[in-house]
Amino acid sequence: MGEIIRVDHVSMNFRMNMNRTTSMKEWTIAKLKRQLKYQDFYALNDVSFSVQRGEIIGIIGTNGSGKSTLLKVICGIYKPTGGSVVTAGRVAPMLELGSGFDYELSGSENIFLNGAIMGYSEEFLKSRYQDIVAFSELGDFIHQPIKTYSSGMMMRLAFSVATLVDPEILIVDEILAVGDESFRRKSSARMKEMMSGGTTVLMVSHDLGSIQEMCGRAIWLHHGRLHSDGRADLVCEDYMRFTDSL
Amino acid sequence: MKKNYYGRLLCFTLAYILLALLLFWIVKDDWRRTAISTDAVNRGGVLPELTEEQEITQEFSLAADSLTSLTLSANRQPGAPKKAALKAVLSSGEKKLYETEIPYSLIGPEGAVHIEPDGVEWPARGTPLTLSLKAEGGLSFWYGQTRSAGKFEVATETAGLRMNGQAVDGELVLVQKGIRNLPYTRYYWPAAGLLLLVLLAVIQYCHICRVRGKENLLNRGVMLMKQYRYLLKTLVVRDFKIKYRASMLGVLWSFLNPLLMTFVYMFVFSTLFRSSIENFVVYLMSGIILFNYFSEASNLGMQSIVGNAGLIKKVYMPKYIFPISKVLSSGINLCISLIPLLIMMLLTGVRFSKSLLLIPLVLLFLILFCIGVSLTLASAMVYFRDVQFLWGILLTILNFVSPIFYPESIIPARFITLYHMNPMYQYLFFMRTITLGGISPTPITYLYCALASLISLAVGLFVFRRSQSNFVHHL
Repeated sequence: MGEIIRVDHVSMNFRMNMNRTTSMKEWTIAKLKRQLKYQDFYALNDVSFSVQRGEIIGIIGTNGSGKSTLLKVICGIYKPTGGSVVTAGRVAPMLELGSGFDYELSGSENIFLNGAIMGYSEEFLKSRYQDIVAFSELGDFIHQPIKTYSSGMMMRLAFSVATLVDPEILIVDEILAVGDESFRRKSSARMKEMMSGGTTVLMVSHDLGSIQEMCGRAIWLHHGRLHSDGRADLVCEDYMRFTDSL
Repeated sequence: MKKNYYGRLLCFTLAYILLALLLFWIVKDDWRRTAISTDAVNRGGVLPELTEEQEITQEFSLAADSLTSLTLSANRQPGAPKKAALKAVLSSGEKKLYETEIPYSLIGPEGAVHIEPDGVEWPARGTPLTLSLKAEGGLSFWYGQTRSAGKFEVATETAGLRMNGQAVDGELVLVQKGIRNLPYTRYYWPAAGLLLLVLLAVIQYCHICRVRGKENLLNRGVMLMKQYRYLLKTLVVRDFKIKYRASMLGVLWSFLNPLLMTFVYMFVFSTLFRSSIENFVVYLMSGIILFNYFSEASNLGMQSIVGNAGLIKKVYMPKYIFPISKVLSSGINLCISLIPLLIMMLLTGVRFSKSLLLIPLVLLFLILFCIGVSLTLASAMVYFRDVQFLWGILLTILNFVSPIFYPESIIPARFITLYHMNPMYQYLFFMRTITLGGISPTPITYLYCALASLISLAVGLFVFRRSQSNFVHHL
């Protein structure tokens, strides 16, 4: 076992440029007039926790409480303005499925492209290729450019690529099920299989039912601060009481 | 693990020595001596007929370490005595260096007089020499005050011409050809050895850092490159595949594009510059290919971060990959477009020499330079989208201040140092010296090209590294 993620006093400060300059002219003028106004906004404020290998953690909180920002900081997309994040494994982000796809390329080319983006080697992807194609149920369509795919086919391919590469840390932002009813069942079965197979999972969801069902531990973020961290059922109950009182 | 490391170190050293030997074989003669030929003034007028008891003297400074020939332009009148001879004396101060008699019959129909001194102990380069000419009538010499610069003639400083002791404004039409000795070959092995030592020291330092688990930029870079090597390859291949996917001629365009461009330029500039450039087609084509690459790679690299905004916001990966992959995929294009260049060289009868083996080196320098420029532009572009328009204008300026379709000689002498500072000039010069000239340039050009690439790369990496963590907030 052992620690796989450590989030250490992480703060994320978005310095909001009040006049949003995107051209050199505007920026220079604003700078000269001393009108460059900034407003500090802390999306995360001094958040610390640590995750053990194999844990499944649900992150809950109201809209704008910093859940997605936290996931992006853990993925490495945002560099925290304070504190540090250490991860000891390969992170597979499932923030938005299919974001690495190139629509001109075929499905199979996209499997390799997307895998490469996640940092996998060619040999590894070749060894997984058959499984991915089989799971996606795309058949011969896999050799067509994906601009010809329907949105369901695209989602199936994206889900297959993201989950069949055995990531050590899976980061999920509200995408438990995609496609039609049968694929939906298949994909949620796959998620459960991964979770029971020792993959560390961090998931954000507003569906408290599934959090309580799947996760052993939950983290409640409130206005960028860590409100509570503990057994999933207890934290969810607290959270439900809080939302009812609003 | 340890054994493995020293094994690799040995392999690296061996590879380095092999490469150094190869380079030495290519450059050794060209770094020891080079053939030079001076520009003559244009024919401006003819001196009065050189009769007996008259004498023309011309002072000039020795441009080579040993002269193989001096060529003058003469006019032989129809009534000139057939058996007469031209007496030429070359002297340094009071000392007579060489004396010869050239029968009139050896003076060609064009009036070229070749004086080919041999067995002379030449004084140091730059020593003022005097050439004095005596004849027996019927012969007169061309002189002038201007030099060619492209299509134009510019007045130059001329001096030292006397006829019967009387100074004449101008200078004889005189070409010096000779061998200039170069000091570089003897520094080759010390320099190569020093570089090897420095490289080994850096590698050893990185190794120690790695063993002790200390953070080190180079190690991190190598690690990332190893891990994302496959992504880089995939992106490069993708860009190349997609570029020509919907076109009928496909990859053939990489072939046709430089050819067509060259013909357009040739058509436009043929009357203007053709006569003053030897092998205008190859000259043009090499310029167009290299500059097109620079312009394509820097433009694509500049757009690469903004263009992949969707991905950068969703997935973590080293963002360096995007500009670098664009520069490299344009590099494939560049390599393909070298084929028509080589074909054109074959067709125009350029001698293929071993110096062509240096082409990969020029390309490497240019590609590194482009990576640096692209990294800088890509980061600037994230913050200010104006950069793309500014760069378009800068590229146009650069196109005109680099010798792509005109000869370097049209640049006024007082701007020439500034002109040579342009890195593109150096890459073009390098390329043309090894293709058209068939020789290796002097180490000064190597150093300049390497320095330009390294500085550009260092600036690019520094700027990119400083700003990359904020990209995601500005996309």
